[in-house]
Amino acid sequence: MLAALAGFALLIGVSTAGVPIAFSMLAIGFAGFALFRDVNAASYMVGQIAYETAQNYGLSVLPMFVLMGNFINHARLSSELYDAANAFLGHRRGGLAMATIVACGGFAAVSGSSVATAATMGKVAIPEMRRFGYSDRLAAGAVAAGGTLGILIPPSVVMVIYGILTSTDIGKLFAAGILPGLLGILLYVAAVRYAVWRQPDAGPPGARTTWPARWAALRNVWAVAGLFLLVIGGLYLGIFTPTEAAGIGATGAFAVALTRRTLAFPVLMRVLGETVRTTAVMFAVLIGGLVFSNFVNIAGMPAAISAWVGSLQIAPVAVIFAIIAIYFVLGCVLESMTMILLTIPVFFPIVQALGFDPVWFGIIVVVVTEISLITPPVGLNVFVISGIFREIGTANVFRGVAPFVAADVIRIAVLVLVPWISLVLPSFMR
Amino acid sequence: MTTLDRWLLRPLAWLGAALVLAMMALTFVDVVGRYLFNAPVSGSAEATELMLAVIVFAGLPLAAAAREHIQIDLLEHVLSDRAKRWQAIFGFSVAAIVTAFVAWRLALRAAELGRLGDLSSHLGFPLAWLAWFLAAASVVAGLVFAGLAWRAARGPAR
Repeated sequence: MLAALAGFALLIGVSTAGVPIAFSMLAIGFAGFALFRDVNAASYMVGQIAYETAQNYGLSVLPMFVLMGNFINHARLSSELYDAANAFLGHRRGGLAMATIVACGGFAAVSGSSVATAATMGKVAIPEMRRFGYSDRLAAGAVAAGGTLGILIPPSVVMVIYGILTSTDIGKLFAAGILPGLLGILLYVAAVRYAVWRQPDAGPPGARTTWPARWAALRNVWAVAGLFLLVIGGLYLGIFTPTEAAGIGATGAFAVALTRRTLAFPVLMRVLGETVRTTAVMFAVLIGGLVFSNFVNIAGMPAAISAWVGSLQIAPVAVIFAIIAIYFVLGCVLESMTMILLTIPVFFPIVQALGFDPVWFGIIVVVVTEISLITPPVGLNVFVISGIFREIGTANVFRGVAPFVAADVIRIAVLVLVPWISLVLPSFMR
Repeated sequence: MTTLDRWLLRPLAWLGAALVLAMMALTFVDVVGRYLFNAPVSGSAEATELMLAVIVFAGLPLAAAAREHIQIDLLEHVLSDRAKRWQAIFGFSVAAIVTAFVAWRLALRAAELGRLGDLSSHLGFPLAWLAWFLAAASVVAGLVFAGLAWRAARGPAR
């Protein structure tokens, strides 16, 4: 137990000192494992994990979902999505910011990454909001927060990792993410309303769009809706396995990019190259994380914590809130995938022993890691936005996301107390 | 670095790109074949696994060269350029050593698979070849990391 905690501390220290996290996890996991067994066993374990993980059939969904998202990113669908949402919401006070949230949700439905969602939508929505005199804070905050919907609304890379680590059905996890995702959109829209109620000149209303123009704008987003229905619908109805759904989704996105004539050869090569590199980055973290969690397991940490929690005699829900509090703290330092890899091996046995539903816990974990994307000091989405629009400034974006963080805290509480929201859709699956 | 780029990284980029596209096409053909023609592609799952491993390890040095491997940049805004330089030297050196270690373990695995003559169960692909490729790509990743550390040590930061 103590050894594992020392390992965590060392991991944070070494990674902060400049070692990419995948490699520090692998090195410390190896050393720790060797401490408990011996160097030979640890070396063998590292080779085994590297060789087997890279060939894991279930994990082939990752490059395919990444590919699908990359095709979509380059298909310039983001402006159509934004225009469509705008046509319905833009005339309200704060309407452009609300439209940003909704468009982010739509984009998230075909992309599994939060950072990509924030970056792509930011480039479209922020200039538009500035043109209408929106405050930089509200504009940037809406995009950074809306982007976090990317990992909750399926397809979601983080859910795939959770599903593989815990042998939870990925299709069910995806289905479970839909309603909490919609709840997230609603609460974010409420956060925008709150922001413009506090400061009415932060989000002046835009022009009203006529109904025929609204329907016309909606027609432009058929590709997104179609892809989502194909992939998630196929998965939900059991027509595709997750791997197949991902491959079909990538093919569909490829077709969309082709028909929209956004796919010149250099663009195609860029999309494929990005996919290869992102896949490698994810697998490096995955392999490092698995090595590290082998060390944590052999050091007896999950068992020790489980026994300790069992001896506490407190309400199971209190344990869940304690775990959420730990995620808040870890989220200050770690990025979402690393966080899941490091914590799930420790927390999942506890949660299971307490009799909670693994699908529900998966949703809770994803939502909590979402929040870490927009909270200081290392809110990744915030840095993406302030990286593209340098004149806004990181501190301003963090202030802008504050009402959205409050909305997230409410959402977490609701999702913990009402598991039905997460579990009703997967309950209809075979 | 440029020699490395031309002779090792570019071919790996092409290989990875081709296989990503192939994996997509294979899944599509497999699903369509199964539902429309009741004829799934035999051994497609195995082919996907083999391609996945190649994509992952081909991407390893490419992501390293693009400096895309995830880092904790908590101190990004606090550190002086000098400190950042030491950070880069230390970080990339450790990454180089770790990758070299993984390459060595994969090479041992490859040698063993070669001795046993193991073939993949459906397609009969020699698994030793795959493991040798993974080991070699890890060596390239180690070289890229070493190059990044060397560059940080020599030149001014960034």
